[in-house]
Amino acid sequence: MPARPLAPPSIAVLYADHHGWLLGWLRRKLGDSAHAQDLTHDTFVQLLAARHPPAPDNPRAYLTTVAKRTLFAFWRRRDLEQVYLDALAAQPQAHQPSEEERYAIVQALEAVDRVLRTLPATTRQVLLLSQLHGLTYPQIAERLGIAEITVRRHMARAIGACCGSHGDGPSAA
Amino acid sequence: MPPSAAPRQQAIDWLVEARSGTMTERQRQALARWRQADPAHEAAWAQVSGALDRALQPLAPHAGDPASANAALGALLQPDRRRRRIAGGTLALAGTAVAGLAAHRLTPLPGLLADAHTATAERRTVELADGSRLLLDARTAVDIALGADSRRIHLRQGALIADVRADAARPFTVHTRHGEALALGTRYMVRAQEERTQVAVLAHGVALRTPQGAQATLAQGQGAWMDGRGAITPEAAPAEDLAAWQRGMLAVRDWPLDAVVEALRPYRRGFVRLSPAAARLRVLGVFPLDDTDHALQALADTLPITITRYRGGWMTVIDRAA
Repeated sequence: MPARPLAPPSIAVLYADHHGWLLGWLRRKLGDSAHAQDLTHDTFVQLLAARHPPAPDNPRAYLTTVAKRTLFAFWRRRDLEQVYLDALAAQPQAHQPSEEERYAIVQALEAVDRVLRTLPATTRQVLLLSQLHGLTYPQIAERLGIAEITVRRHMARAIGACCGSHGDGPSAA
Repeated sequence: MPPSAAPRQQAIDWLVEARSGTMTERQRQALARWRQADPAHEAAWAQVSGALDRALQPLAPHAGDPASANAALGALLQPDRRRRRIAGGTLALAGTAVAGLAAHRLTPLPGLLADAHTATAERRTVELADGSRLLLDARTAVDIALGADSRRIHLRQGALIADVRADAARPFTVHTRHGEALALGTRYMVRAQEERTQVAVLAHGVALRTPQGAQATLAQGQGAWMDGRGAITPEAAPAEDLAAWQRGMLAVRDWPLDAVVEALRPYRRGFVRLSPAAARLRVLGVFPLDDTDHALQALADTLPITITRYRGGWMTVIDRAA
């Protein structure tokens, strides 16, 4: 793990006092030491990026809240990757991605998932069939067994969700 | 059709229509009129369509690859079981997500579906309302805005040949992120690449201008590049060679192999890997775009390279022969 400048002093104190405790907490949740180290690191990076400093009276509750968020993101990322790879493997023509490609794919899936996750499954499906697979609305309507007007309603909702999701925190890209 | 709601809601309704895949020319014109009717409309349109494109941008590399697109769809359809770690069940889920799509053979453009676009290995002519015509190369996306005093084509990616109907009152320009090419006559080609834009004049002339203010006028037969720094540099190859794709040919004189492979990519489903040692070999010849297997074989016949195909052509690896 690379050394990281701990800019706000409160975080530095938090790190010194609770790093070991957080690592233990995450290790119990994950049953895996290497991932726990990564997520401990991620949690403190989140803290550095956060606008509100931790409440001084109960730092561990605050740390746990942020760590949980990090943990959920980790599980979600793992799900996305696993389902993607399983689906790819189920197709005879597919090429198996390299380690590097996998990383890029998971980053991409995560970024889109952040925008779409609040939408119902059918809405997500309509949006992706249209914009990723290039199907027309009549084709989507037929495939999903719904009316074309319903396809349009799903699209409108999905577009609305995309518009509302800017400023979604700092991102790598 | 859009109700008299706030511009943002109207823009969403219009965008739903524009991405339907079944938009008619009349609706297209109605949309253009709506956008021009009020700066607030145009602003709402830019905001809403930009937000959608940005949201799906990360998936763009997967859209040209059906297997990967299917897998991405499967992954993004699974519910977010935030608090539970899942062990089993993902395989079955993936299976259902894919089953309906496995037979699907379209390879559309990166989610950023524009006013008009072409898929992998597809060339298509688009007739514009003013009588002009655009021939789109494979994997090309354009936005079309025909106004009362201007005609603007935004080439997002790929290449086009514009056959321009003369209309002195409405100048015709093709824009890319690197600059614009104004028609001074009838027929020219524009290709947008990541780093730069190529223009080649097939009839009459074209005036180039970059955002940084560089200008140049090209005569028939001439070509030039506009790059990301706003510079314009001439291209030595004849314009007809640069536009040979209109007849399904790739004509190259002394190109590096990586540029040749780059030119074949929009016509090939699946990945092509090129080793650095092979990338700099020089190529001369004419190759068929509509049969990239044949084109690759022709390269292997004349260059010291080996070509290995994996998984039924899905993955092709080109290396320098030992």
